[in-house]
Amino acid sequence: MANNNIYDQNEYPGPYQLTWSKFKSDHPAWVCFYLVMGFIFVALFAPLIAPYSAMAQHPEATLLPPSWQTAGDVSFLLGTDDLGRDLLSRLIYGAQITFGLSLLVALVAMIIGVALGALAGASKGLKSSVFNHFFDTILSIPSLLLAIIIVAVLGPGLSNTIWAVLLVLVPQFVHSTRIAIQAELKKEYVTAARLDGANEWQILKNSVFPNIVETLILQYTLAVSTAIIDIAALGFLGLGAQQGSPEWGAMLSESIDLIYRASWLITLPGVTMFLSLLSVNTVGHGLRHALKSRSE
Amino acid sequence: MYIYLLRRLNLLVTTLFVISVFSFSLGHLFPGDPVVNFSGQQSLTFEEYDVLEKKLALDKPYMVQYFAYLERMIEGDFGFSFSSERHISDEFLRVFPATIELSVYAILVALCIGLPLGLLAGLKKNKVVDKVIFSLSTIANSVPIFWIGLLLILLFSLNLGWLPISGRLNLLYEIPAHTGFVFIDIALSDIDNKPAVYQNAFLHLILPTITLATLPTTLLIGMMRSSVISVMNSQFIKAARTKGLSYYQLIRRHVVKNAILPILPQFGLLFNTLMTSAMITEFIFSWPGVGYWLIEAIYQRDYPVIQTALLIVSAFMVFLNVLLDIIHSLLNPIVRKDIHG
Amino acid sequence: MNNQICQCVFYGLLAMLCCGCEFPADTTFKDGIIYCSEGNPDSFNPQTTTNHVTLDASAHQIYDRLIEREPYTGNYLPGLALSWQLSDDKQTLDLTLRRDVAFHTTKYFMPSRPFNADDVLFTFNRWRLKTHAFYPVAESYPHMQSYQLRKVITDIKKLSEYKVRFTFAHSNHDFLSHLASDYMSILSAEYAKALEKLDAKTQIDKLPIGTGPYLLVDYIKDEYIRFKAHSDYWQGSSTLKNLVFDITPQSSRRLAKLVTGECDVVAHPAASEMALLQEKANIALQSKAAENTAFWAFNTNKPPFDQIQVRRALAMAIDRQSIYRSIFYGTAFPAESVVASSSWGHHSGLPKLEYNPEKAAKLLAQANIPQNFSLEIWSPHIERAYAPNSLKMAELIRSDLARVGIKSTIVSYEWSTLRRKLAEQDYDTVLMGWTADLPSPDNYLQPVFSCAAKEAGINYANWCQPEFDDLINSAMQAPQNEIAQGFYHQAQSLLRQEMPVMPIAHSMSFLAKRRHVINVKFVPFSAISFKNAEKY
Repeated sequence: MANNNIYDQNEYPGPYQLTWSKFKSDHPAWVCFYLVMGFIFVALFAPLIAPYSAMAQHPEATLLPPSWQTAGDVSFLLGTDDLGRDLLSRLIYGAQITFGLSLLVALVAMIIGVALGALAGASKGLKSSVFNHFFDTILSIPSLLLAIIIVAVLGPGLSNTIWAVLLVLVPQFVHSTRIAIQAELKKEYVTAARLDGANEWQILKNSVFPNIVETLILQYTLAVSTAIIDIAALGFLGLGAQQGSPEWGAMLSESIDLIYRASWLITLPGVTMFLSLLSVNTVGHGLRHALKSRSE
Repeated sequence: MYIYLLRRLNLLVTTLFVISVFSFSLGHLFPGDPVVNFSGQQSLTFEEYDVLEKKLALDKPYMVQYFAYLERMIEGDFGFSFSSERHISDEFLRVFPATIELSVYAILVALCIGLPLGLLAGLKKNKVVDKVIFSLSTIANSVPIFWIGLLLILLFSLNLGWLPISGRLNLLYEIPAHTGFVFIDIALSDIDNKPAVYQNAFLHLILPTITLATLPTTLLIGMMRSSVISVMNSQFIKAARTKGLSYYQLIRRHVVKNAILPILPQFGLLFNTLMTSAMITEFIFSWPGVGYWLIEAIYQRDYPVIQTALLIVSAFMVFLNVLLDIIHSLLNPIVRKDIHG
Repeated sequence: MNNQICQCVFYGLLAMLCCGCEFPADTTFKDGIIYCSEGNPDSFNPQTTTNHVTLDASAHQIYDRLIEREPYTGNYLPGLALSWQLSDDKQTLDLTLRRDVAFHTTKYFMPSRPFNADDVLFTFNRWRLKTHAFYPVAESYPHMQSYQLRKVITDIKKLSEYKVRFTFAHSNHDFLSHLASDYMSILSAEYAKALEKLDAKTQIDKLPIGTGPYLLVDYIKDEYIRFKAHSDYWQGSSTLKNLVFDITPQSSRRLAKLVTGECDVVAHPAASEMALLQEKANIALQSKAAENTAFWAFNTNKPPFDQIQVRRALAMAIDRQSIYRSIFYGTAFPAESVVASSSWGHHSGLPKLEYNPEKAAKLLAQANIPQNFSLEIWSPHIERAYAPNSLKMAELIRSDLARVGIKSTIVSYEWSTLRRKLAEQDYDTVLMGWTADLPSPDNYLQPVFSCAAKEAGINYANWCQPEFDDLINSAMQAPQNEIAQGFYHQAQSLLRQEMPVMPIAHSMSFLAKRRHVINVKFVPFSAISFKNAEKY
């Protein structure tokens, strides 16, 4: 692209760009960002990447260890479980459930939560107070306990788990959005805009939102990590994904009976879960760090 | 101050109200008959059913039902468990101390490890020590707790055979439960050979405590670190430094106290994490606490127990949060003003 | 009190310091056995159940029977009855009872008299007479109801303090084997009377009083059952002081506890880890023959499972080979009939069950089962001898069903919940099984498939066929085993024809224990017994 800038002027990066470049200079976070992208890619294209279907049983190859062990078989890279299902394929399909659904749930929760939060943040008086109390109540109950209760009411199952996690996440977004909006509304440029005659909606849209987007993204990473942990924990407790589903937590609990004989069935799903959580958390950390150092 | 207290109490009462309404509605939301769900008695004759329905006020409008329910809760009458057919209040009193005991040890461990490490990391900001501590805590923070539990079992119990994996005490020791806290009960019992029993109880504690303490420790490290950093940057530290205090004195007299105060309100978050982790830890190590009890109740579709456990545990959490707020405001007068403003 | 706190703190610290120390001469571990059992008992009365967890926890620990059966020879030995005399027409049975047999003295009951004829009358009349005060205390008496023993016994008379006479409706050879079964454990009449006065009749099955080698101290659901030796036991008190059942539903956890020494004996070690156990020097395995059948029951009350063709097609869709390999790890025999091959009534002439998904799909289409028809597979959340891992089994079945275009969902319940739900009869299919508790072949048929069993709630296929009942009744009346065998074969052919259940496997059942525990009685047709168990 031709440079139309005829003045030899320093280009100042915008605030988003600044955060982005700060973020990039944080190497672990940058690596983890790629890892997250990798997980997203795997989740999106699981059927194309996975060598087998998650449910395909290979009766002739049960309990094969990972291929780097002597008894392993290269056609089953990470080994197989007791029904002869390929572990790698199951982990890949599991990424779709545990990781992919977490991203989606957190996204939906964000949309609902931000809308409600904006309503709460912009309103004042009794309505706002009732609202706040209600959400503070829900927030003071631990998320997994709340999810367990919701599952207890709805009955176990993956779809109910998703509902439960969604219901758990929404209040968190409402809370953080409300606080961010209220903090922003106190600032002087908002008052200036108001004096210019902007109505509530315009203020929210033009002044407040652009300034809280980053806080929301940060909250989003937290939400994703909560969602992963909760979905997996419920699966592990046998309250979430059905037996046999390649959901990571459920895979772990299903393999406990084989802890001696086939320890890779315990370690590998655990490692995958760990990596996904680590990458999401680190990206969150990096983002927070970048935001902080930008404001400094 | 009184106004502040009143506000907090107001919050407490409203929150408890919301929770109790939710818990009450569960009795109607759960599958099955409300009379059975509220009373926990499954095999009823028609007459018994009618009597119970009257007694629980379930033939009246919802408002009256709710107040009758509230009255029962305050009296501690939670009905019967479906599966054990015992009073839920008795069962709860049996499992609750176990959870408290485990949580207290885990919190102690987390404090003993988390605060010093956080302090160290904060003081050596951006040096190697800080980076090592920070990375370790990020890693520990990302390991799913149920996986840690399994790995610990695999390593210390199955491969090395050092530590037991379930329960609070070898079942051959018959310790009558007076308080529900193992160590106190052992002291109160008249069993021979107490040292061996204490040792056994202690060995049973190690793995669950480590598992449970992991997450709170990482949280504490993070909180303490950022708090120490902000204290170190404040004016009064500079002033103290100019007064010629040695580094050690400075830390001991000024930094530690001032760094711990601001993280007190965040303890609510800490307890939340602890409660969540406690449920999973108890499940993995068959620790007979509230979490284990609740999860078994869900497997067994024991609705009265689920309903009660929800009510008590969340009320307890809310209560704890408010209590922390109040303690914090007593110790730190600045907060009170903030909240008025 | 203060002193005690100090002591507590002191020893606590000491314990931390002495993690590695050995404390000398702690006899607690020598005097007691921990048995890791697989689930919660429904009650402590064998009469009220056919659940083996309940039988294990009660029959041979808390109670005794009038006569006992020697496990391998099948001879009868005196128990609470010293001797017995069957009349020539086989219509009456006279029993002479043992004297000076003490009942348990516990926190909740102090017996004032030893065992006598009143206890026998109470025990039998309780389930026999619908007018009896204790009859309604239990929901059902499945074993007695499925055999219709109420009609078999016309009268029980007390001839003297220590003599009882049973009178039968028709000549009966088989009654002794019932008397020796776990279900005929003897209860205390005096205790029942005391409870009646207190208006606490339901307590009789929950806080039991018996004459057996152990008495119940404490039971906490999902945690443990604690027994203590009965010091006045008529066969001499046990060498153990304590017996604890540690309730551990997960087989992997039971195994881990065996390895760490938290359990001395474990029920049903995971089939998948069996090979590993054999390598461990300090662990021994005890096995008993495959006197059981695992099956997949169709609720024949509910369409479309009321159609024979559908049931047969579903059975045809299942690849049982993969079940043997992945679930049983070679510890089971394929089942072609519901009667185990070790029984003399087994029909070995039945052809192998066909596995043919294409034909199954065709049959289903003929029966107007729509594509994407979906069914539920219920599966108990408990390990049994016949089902080391029901959930995995359900998963295999699900994937087989998917191959013929049937969707299925697995519903898993904890045992007592499952039983409650099954009683409502609103289910499609359930993975179940039966473990024989009498040596006679009809024990595989009568309590599982008869119309009476359906009423007693243990016929999980809800299948009732008068023709079948006639066959097994004729077999029971037959004077010689050879004739009876013919009827049993016909009954099994009929079952194959109608396919109310798909038989899956007869599985070996195992008990794993640490080597220093000996004499645990783990034999066919009987619940586990720790009467003579020792630890050294």
